[in-house]
Amino acid sequence: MNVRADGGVAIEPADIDLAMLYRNELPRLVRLGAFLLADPRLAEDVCQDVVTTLLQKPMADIDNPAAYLRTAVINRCRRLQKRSTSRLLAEYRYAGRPSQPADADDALHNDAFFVRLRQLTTAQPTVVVLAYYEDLTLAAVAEQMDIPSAP
Amino acid sequence: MTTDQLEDHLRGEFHRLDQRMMEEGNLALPS
Repeated sequence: MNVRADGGVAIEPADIDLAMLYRNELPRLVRLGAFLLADPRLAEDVCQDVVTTLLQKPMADIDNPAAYLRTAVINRCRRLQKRSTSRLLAEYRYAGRPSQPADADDALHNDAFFVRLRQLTTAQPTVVVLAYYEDLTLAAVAEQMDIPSAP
Repeated sequence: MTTDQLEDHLRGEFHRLDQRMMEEGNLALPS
């Protein structure tokens, strides 16, 4: 979006695409991240980071922005899972991020299913979420996670 | 619980919590 000499605003096609992308894709991606991290508040921060990164790339370099955004969210969540101790997650959350930490009064964060998901370790949450939330086949899950699948 | 029942349970729980997040609409989206 550019401000013209007359003070008007010229909206570029790329701006429209990006706005549509955010409106159409981000709500579901935040929920996907919430499941992958078993932490809805942290998912907001992760999506904020991913969007910031996307904004720094020329859109022309990205063939499928929606797929790029989805993969970026999954990969960012997986990296956090690998490092995830509650301490690391807390450090990430507190590192100048806008969202507030979940507390005992956060009913969504403390939903029994999120609590169960937080008990899974390493790659387990990703497999479960991609298979039963995203409805991917196990072969597609393996491909998404870049790991060999059973023949 | 059979495997099929477990899979149905998981899908049901994801759907329930997905709906809850959509209905509560209190996840702050990046601006």
